[in-house]
Amino acid sequence: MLQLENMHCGYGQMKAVQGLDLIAEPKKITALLGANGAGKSSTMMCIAGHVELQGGTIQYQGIDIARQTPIQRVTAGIGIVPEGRRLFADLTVQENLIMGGYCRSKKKTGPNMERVYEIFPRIKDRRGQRAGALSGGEQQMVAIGRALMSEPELLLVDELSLGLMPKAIDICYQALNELKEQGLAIVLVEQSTQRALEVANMITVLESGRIVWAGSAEESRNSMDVIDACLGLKSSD
Amino acid sequence: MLYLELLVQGLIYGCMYAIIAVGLTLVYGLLRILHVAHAGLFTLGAYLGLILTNATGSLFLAMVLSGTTVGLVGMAIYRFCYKPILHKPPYVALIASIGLFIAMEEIFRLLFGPYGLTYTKVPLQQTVHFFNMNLRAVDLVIVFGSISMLGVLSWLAQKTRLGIAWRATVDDPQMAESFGVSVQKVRYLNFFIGSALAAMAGIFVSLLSNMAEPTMGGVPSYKALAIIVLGGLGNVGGTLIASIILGIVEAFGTIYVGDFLDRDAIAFAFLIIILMLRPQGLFSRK
Repeated sequence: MLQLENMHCGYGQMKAVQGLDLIAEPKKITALLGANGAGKSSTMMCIAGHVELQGGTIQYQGIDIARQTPIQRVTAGIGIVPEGRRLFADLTVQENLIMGGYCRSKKKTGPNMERVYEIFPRIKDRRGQRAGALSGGEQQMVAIGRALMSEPELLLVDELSLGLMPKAIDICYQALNELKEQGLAIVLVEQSTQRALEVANMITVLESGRIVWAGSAEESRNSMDVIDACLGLKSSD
Repeated sequence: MLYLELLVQGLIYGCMYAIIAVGLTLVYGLLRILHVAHAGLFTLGAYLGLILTNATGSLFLAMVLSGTTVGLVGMAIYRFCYKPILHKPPYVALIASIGLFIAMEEIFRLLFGPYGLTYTKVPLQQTVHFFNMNLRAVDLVIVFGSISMLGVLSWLAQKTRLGIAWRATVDDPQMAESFGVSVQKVRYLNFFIGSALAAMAGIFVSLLSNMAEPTMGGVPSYKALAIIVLGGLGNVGGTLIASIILGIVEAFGTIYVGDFLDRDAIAFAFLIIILMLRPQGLFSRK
């Protein structure tokens, strides 16, 4: 569904990612791990069309999308849950969801919104409230719901668990698993390695913009020490 | 009775300030530019309204044509003046805007002469009895016209998909784009509406003073700039309230301190005092 080959991206002179290969497939979760500043979020924003592609290719459903605008990409089915959620804070929950479905026809807003409320009943009760006034967990649910409103086939999730209560994290991961079962391809950036390894089918570890480890979930279990080392988790030993 | 009449006077001016300042605050909210040339559009609106009223005899037609034309000119200003320099620091756009405003004033002087134009027959001068007050028809048109225009704007912003997209773009343009909003279209729409409102304000002022002249944009624009700071830059609701407050303070001020301060001096003294006390504005969220 999504295929990055030798992808370079960054901001002008600043090279964020140099030579990333990544694949996302329906009914699979691809986890992208790495320390702060490794280039994970740049990768996500590059796939969404906001960070300049400086080399390599991005293919989505067999088509090179390197020159497509963000609007074309979301219309083609690439939905994003961005780092820090970035809800429209002054808009209500319901308005945030309407915005999520802006690239689809008005008729689909109602049914899609019902679907989001089914997945996250909690935010239905809060639909009239300002998104900025919600708790972190609720905001993350709205952010996922907003992305779902665009009827994505590929979902980019940047930092699902950061700063959330464990209970909210569980709800979000449960939703992610359900969406995967329903056929979505998911790329997940996660600072909680543990959580990511539990759900991921494929794993790529980045360090300073380069791949340092990549493999399947099974392979990762046999090389946990390598992955931990890459992430700097054992640096204090 | 006097108080009520002063309140109504304040409301008339407050409404006028509101429809100038709303356009300004909308541009600031969206682009973080202090759009000084907005006042030039106000003057252009007044000239077009006056000339078209004299030519056609219909004030209403003149308002529609003037509003549309000035709206399009506002879009052109965005396209040719601001858009090419948006990636530069904000003061670059500010300087460009001030330059454009001065140029516009000089163009009006060259085209229409330095002394200003007057209506051949000023419309809406008949006296109307309204709640025991003697008002001119133009006063009522200003108040109800402004309120209904702002009402439509508010409905557009709150209840339509386009309006929601507009507010989302003000909040986070990149995210709005991520979900399919064309940020450029929102900006053009923003300039069209803001500029058309400024044109209406210009026509209202020309009706009150029976004059359109090259520098008439100066004072209202300084006031509008102070108002949008008072209202919490980019905050539309705050801007409206600040406009009405200023109008009322001016109206009462002319009675109590009018002997030694003129209307504009009162307004600026008030704005200076408030901004000294609350530099972040009356309704700032942060």
